[in-house]
Amino acid sequence: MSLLDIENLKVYFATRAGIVRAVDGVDLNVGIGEVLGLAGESGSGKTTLGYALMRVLPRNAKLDGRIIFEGRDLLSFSATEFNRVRGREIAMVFQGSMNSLNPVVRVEDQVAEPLILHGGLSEDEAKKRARELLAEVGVSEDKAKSYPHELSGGLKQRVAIAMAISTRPKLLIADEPTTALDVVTQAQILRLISELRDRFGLSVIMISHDLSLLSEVCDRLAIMYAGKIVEVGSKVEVVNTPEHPYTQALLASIPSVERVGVDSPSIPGEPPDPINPPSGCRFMPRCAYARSECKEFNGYLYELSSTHRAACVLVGGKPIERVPR
Amino acid sequence: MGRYIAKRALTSIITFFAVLVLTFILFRLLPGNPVLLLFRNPQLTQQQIAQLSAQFGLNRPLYEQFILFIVNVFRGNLGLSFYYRAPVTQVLFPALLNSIILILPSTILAILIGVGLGVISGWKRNTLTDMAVLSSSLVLYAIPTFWLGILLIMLAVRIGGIPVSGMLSIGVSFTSPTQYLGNLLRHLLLPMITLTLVTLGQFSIIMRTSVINELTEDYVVAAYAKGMSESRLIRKHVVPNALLPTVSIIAISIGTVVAGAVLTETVFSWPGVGTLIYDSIARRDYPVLQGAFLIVALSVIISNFIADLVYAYLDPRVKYS
Repeated sequence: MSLLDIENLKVYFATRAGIVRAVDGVDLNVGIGEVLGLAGESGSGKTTLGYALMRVLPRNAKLDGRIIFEGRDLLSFSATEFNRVRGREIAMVFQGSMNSLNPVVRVEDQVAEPLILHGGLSEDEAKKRARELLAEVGVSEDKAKSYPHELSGGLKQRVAIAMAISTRPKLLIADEPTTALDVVTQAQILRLISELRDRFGLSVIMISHDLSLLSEVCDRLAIMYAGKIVEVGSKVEVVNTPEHPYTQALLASIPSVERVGVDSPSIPGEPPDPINPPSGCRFMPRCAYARSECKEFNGYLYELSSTHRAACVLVGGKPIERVPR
Repeated sequence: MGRYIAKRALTSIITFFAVLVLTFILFRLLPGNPVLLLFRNPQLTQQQIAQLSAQFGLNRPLYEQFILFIVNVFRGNLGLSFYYRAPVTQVLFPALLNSIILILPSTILAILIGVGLGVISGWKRNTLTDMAVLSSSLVLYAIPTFWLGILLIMLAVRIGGIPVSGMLSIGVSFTSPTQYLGNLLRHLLLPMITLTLVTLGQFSIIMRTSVINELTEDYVVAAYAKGMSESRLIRKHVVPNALLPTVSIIAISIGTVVAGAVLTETVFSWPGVGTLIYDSIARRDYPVLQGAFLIVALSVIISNFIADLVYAYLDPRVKYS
């Protein structure tokens, strides 16, 4: 059963240069206790999608479509109504969590805050619970009274996670939760997120540009390009049998220790201008398999299996040539 | 914490010493012979002048005069007023007290109102509210103090019943302390409003900018994502951080508040340091001016010292060492 259904979600920003179509018609769902990986280049709209789910977008943003969470259409909620969902049922760990802590507030107070806001706990109860939560994510008791600048990057990340999960949300959006961390800490954080999923049935949307990282912890993967989902499927389907040329190129560009000295192929060209995206398939200008039909393509996701879908004219019955890997 | 305070205090003392040196040099550079200025008698003979110079120590080498000056300052001896023929301290301290009565409440009001308006303006940036606050702040910042003072005097005269000059009604004997206080407060009204208004504009502009800066920080989005109202976000997260740069800038601008007080006091004939400075310039009463300058410099030094302490209290990242 799905916890979250996103239908034709659009996030447009009104700017002086024109309308930026950051997210342009995304359909996606997340099941209960599922970890969904959302991958794509910088500027593909993955973070904006996360912000849209949290409704923490800047004022010039316009939202359209439907976000169904446990049968409720979240976009129909008023700002005040949504305050009861935000941080309580859906929580987010932000990119660059080093900066997502208030520099002048003790970390235990920052973790306690959602509990006071949503849990109806008194300040003392909330602080006590906050220290327990911090211990659960691996921040020792004596560090609970620290200020953010006194903690290492890894610890700050843990505090940010404790802050997000303090109210036991049903959905956690983790935006690049491990960037700027060393590999060992990275692995610890990922293990922590997996544990939380196993223990509390937490659903997670993990946003990252790092496909190898995502394929470690995710059940399903969605690939985003220029505001659209181009491929979605189980981890095995997307990694082993990628159907969209963009996914293939993305997978091929991952550097590997076994290929030291060999340059990983990069994708030629630049992501399209989000104000004037090319008509038809948005990846066409950079695609090795581009053909005339691509110009008419409407971005439809072809069904390849009950779980696997890809938005390319070459799929949908027709076999496509594999990129040598 | 103790070490931090001691360090800051030491810096303040060094600064004060530098001010003393500058004051000494500045007043030695001024034209005119102090003895002639003091006695204003064209019939003084050369011999009498030499005798008086010796009496005041003016014939001694400059470095000796300097040491004497420093020693005297620390003994609380700021010299003799040319005009009042009395020790400068006796002239200065009542004026200082009167100035504090005016400046302290005005500054506190200006900080509270200015910072408050700045928060609202920054929070509601690019709205009508913001534009109203910002433009009125700019007008208040730019408005000449004496002009606003005169405007208020005209207004007060129209309305009637509001004293526009001095600190107490002249020729009235007060029967009770409350009556005295009431009279004083009514006299305080206009100068306080003037000084508050001309000061708060800059504070609100600084705070607005600071709030807008903080609003772009990542932690603000993260805090908002906890599911709190915007007003709580502003109160609990944005303001404590936005105050940090504002505190330092307010401390620096206390110097301009004192300058603003000179104009305000002059317009309303408030018998404070400002009026004293104004009158002493006209009278060429250099010793009083010298003392007044020291007081003004000291007020800036003290306000910066207080700002350092407030800053350390507000920002945990300040190291207490």
